[in-house]
Amino acid sequence: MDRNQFIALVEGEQAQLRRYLLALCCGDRDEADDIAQDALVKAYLSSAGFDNVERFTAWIYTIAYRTFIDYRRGSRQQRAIDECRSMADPSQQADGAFCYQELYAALDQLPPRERGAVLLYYIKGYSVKEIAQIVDGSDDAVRQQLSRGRKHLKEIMTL
Amino acid sequence: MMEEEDKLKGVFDQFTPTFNRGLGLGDQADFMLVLKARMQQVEYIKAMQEAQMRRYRQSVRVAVATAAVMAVLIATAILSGSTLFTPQITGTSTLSALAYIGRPALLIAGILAVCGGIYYALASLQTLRAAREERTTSKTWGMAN
Repeated sequence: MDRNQFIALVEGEQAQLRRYLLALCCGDRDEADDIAQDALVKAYLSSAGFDNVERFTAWIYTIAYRTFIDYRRGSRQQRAIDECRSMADPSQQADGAFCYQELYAALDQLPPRERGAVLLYYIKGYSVKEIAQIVDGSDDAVRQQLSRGRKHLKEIMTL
Repeated sequence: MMEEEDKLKGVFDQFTPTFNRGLGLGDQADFMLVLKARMQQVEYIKAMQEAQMRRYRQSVRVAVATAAVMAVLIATAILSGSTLFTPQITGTSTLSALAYIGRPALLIAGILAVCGGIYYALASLQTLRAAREERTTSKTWGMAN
C-alpha cells in the first residue's frame, strides 16, 4: 500500500475512528485525537507490507485499540492531571461534549476491555468474532465482556 | 430484553459528536493536516536511518577489504622472504637480545595486523547488527500486526 492509497483510506475512516476513540476515552478529545494520530502513524509505518484493503478498517481499529490500551497503561498519572486541567478549561466542555456527559460518565465506569468491546459492537457494528480479532481475545471472553458491559451500562444509565 | 437492547443501541446511534474546535480549516482537514505532517516526519526519520545503514554497510565492506588486502600483502612478504620489514640491527653480542626479538618481528607484525583487521571487521559487523535491530524496532514501534 502506498502513501496516497493509505491517506485515501484514512480520510474515509477517520471520522468513525475518532468517534470510537472519543467514546473509548470517555469524552477526552485531546487524548482520543492523540491516540488516533499515534495509531495511524503506526499503521502507516507498517502499511508497506499491508495489501488487504478489505481488512483495512479492522486493522486500523486493532492498532487503535492496542494504542489505547498502551496509553492507559502508561499515562494514568498524566490522565489525572489532564482531567483537572480540562475541568478548569470551560471551552473543553462547552460544545457537544456536554450532551454526552451521561454516556461518558457511564463508559468511564466500565473497565477498558469491556468498554472497547461494547463500543466496537455498538459503534462499528462488529460481530463477536470480529471484535475478538481486534482485541486479540477469545470469542467467549468477548461475549462475556459484552454481556457485562451492557449490564453495567444499563444499570448506570438506568435504561 | 430486546427493548433494553434497542435503548442501548439508540443511545449509541445518537452519539454523533462534532470535533470542530475552530482551528480554522474544518475538523477533518485539521486532523489530516497534522497526520500528514507526522507521516512526513516519520518518512524523514526512516530516510535518515536508511542512510545510516548504508554508511554502516560501506564501513564494513571497507574493513573487510582492508583486512583481506593486508593479509595478502603480509603473507606475500613472509613467503617471498622479503627483508622489507626485517630490522636492520648492527652490532655485536651486546645486541643479541634485540636481534632475537627482531627476527620474528615480521611474523608478529603480520599476525597483529591480520588480527586487527579481523577485529575491526567483527566490530563493524556487530555495529551493523545493532543498527539493523534498532531500525526494526523503530519500524514496528510497538506493532504486533
